[in-house]
Amino acid sequence: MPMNNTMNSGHSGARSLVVWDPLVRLIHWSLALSILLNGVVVDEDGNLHKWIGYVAVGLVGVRFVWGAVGTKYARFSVFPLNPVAALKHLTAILKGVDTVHLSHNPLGALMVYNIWATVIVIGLTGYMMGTIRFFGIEWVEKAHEIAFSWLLVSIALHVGGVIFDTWRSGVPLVRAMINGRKRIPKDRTVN
Amino acid sequence: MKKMIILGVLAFASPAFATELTTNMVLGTGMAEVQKKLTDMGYQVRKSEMEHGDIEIYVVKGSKKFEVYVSMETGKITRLKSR
Ligand code: HEM
Repeated sequence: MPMNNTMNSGHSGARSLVVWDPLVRLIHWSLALSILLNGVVVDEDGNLHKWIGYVAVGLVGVRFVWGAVGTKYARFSVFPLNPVAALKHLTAILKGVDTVHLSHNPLGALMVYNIWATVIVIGLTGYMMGTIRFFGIEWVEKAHEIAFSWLLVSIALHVGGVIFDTWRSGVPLVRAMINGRKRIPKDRTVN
Repeated sequence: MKKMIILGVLAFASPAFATELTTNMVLGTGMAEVQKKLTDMGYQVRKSEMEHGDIEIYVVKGSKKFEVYVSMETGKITRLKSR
């Protein structure tokens, strides 16, 4: 019932809808923080690195459950993994279509699933590196490093996409990930 | 008899029979030599590389994992990290 959450945001005719519930926001910024910590701050040989890694995977795990049973815009069903839709969305962008998506747009959805999957691969290979069986095994270490590099590339694209889509759709997306509300300019079609 | 046992224990505890890695233990100044020594001591060598002019080797034995750093100059273990 999104209209229940509608309120006047002060901009003439703009609507403001609650889309991201507190759990989605908490997981998002905690995941970002854990990656920042493990990527640049914490000693990768230490125990803390392992624990932060477990936390990151745990956050993705909780998000997966929430994607099945959570609030409306947090559900996988509203942002399905669909490369064809992502491609269509891309051509729509090129044609100048400025439709607003209340959850993730199809291109964003692709990135979101990619980021989650990459975090899992990093966590899994990291865990393996600590087992007797895979300790010192080169391909596991390489996989861990390559997945992390890929995550950095993905995050750069993600943030770039957020900035671009904020400009394209006119919805301040970062603010929405902070306070939960998407403010939609009145002339936009909502999808 | 008692003497024999003591001798036996001493022999086991002496470096020549050592199987436990300790810092300053001499393993050798070349990669092949160090690898052989570790293998003879019952360690499985997983990965070895040169790191800032020192030899760095990952070994496992039973449920134990170690990262061993050996000086190419002295042949001694300079750093031993249990994992
Ligand atoms: C390590 C860094 C980051 C990671 C791993 C990451 C990951 C993610 C993921 C997985 C989602 C989907 C959220 C969900 O549905 O639960 C998401 C959404 C989002 N992220 Fe990030 N993020 C990172 C950094 C950032 C930063 C720095 C910003 C701010 C510029 C940002 C802004 C957003 C926004 C605005 C959304 C929602 C996009 C939309 O409306 O569709 N993220 N991010």
